[in-house]
Amino acid sequence: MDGRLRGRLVGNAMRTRATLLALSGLLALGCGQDLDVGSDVLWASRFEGGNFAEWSSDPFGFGNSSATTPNTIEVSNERTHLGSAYAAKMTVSGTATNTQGIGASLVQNGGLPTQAYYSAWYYLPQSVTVGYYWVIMKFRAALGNPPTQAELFDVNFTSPSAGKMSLRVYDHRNGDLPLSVPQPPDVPVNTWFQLEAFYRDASDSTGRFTLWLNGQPILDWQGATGLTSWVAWDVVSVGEALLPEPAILYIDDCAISRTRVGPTGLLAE
Amino acid sequence: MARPNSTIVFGGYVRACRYLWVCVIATSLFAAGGRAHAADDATKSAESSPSESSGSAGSRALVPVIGESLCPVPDAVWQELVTLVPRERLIARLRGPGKPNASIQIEDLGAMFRISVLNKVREYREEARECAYRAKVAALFAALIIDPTALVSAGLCERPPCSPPPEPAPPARIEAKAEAPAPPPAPPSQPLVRLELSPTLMTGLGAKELAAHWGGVLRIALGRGPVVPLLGAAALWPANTSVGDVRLRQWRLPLDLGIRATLPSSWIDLYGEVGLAFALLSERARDLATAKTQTGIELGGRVSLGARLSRRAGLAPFISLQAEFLPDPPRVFALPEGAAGRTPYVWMGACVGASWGMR
Repeated sequence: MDGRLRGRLVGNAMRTRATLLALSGLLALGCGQDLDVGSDVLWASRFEGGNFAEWSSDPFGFGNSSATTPNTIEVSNERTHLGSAYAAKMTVSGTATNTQGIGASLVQNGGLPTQAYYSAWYYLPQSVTVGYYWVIMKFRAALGNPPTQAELFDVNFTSPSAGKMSLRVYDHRNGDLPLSVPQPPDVPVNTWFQLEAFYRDASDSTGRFTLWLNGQPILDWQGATGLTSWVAWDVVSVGEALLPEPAILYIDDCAISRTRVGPTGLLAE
Repeated sequence: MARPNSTIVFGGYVRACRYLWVCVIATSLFAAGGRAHAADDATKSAESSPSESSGSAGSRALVPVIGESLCPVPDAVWQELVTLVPRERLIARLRGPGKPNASIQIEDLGAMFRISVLNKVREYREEARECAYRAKVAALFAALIIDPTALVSAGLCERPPCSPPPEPAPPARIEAKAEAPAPPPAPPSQPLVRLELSPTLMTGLGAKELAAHWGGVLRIALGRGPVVPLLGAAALWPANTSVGDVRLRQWRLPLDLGIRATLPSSWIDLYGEVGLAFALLSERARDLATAKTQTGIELGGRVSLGARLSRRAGLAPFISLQAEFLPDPPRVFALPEGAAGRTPYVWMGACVGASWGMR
């Protein structure tokens, strides 16, 4: 075989290979591509940076993470949701001297939308007897005359019986709100669960507060909420008379979204 | 005058010509002459030969072109004829040993003229009465009847005084009085290129909110056979749709490559198409907090059925229906929903438009 013929054969083989490669590329492009068309998640905190940087003034105007001694808040890898690297760990003393409002908190407020879905995942490593109260999620709004920033709704852990944990919702204006389920919902212990709320801020009856536990609705309340558009959302661990103490709560994958996140929702691609 | 079939049959001779007008006329006449059995009938021509002495002086006794024609005059025809076929050959053919004493007769009929050669008669319309031109045409007809092979082998246009064509339109053949049977008409050839342009409506099946894309389609079929390759492209307006709970503004640019098989009939051509379908698909979320535009590629198969009025060339209306099947269409992804679903597996379309056949 002379060199010219060999060169031609090699050239043909290369052309064939290039054609097959191009066709394969085209087939690959044309097969089940993912088109990421955007997101309704306005903000999310997954703690994957190993810090609380997501709880800052960006994007809503104010964000904060804090704890009052002896209570602590830290980023931990002891318990994480869906295989993520980090979660927030809140440890509160829960003694009777841990007076009201003192605990660990993650706060977002300022330019929150007048209506949105607020979601967070919680992990309770053991059941805790709640002697007085244990707040784990809080909404604040502008109330009173003249309107001032005030507490509105608290989502609390309760311990209806030994080893059982449940929830109650407290309206700072009127006391406990009746849940829409006949029995107090069971809060799972030693496993992650999702608490998601829909909050619409309105000074008339169009205001709304809806709560889901692991995707199941447990409260749907309508009525006036805030008097201005100011809204604050806190993911907290604030309690009194908790046994055993200190009480530990892990928190992960917090989000504020225009559409419902739900137990299967994603916060990142 | 130069009919396509004549041109094809005598194409070899045409290529030998230097002057196009002569070639065109010669080709046509040659074809007509061929149909008239010119050579075979030569022996019969003596019976119909007019007397040379009827209109010719003694010095022109050897000139075998006769007649009272004023336009063209017989001499002019002869002068033209001897430039095409050598004089000796003409004489030998018409009046040589063993040949009948034949002549070429020319008659002026006003807007027409008639030429009779060896029992072959042809009339031409030439209303402008360009006599020189008539003489050339008559001479060519005579030359082709008398000795076509000599004419061709000698190089029809190699000798002067071939000249460019005159201004008037060429004479139209009115009637062939020869007895030759007309050849069967050749079937009209299919267009080499067929361009189709039409508005179209395409919609993807299975979406919660059905997207109706209006637009235009351009399709090109190449070739004359019953099965020809096909290339098509469409430009479609964007339309609203939804995938899962994600509402989208969708834009699509489909391309297709395939083959078309046509089943012709007397007034409707039915055709079917099969091939590959490609499309650029662009999706933009309509009401997500953070909306992005994403473009993907669709790849699949395409089938189509259509019908077209049977016109071999020119414009003809057509209608077609098509379906594209995509085995693995793109997935739409949005937060927090995640994978919202897939874009349609099946696209249906309809076209009503014009098809332009070009030979």
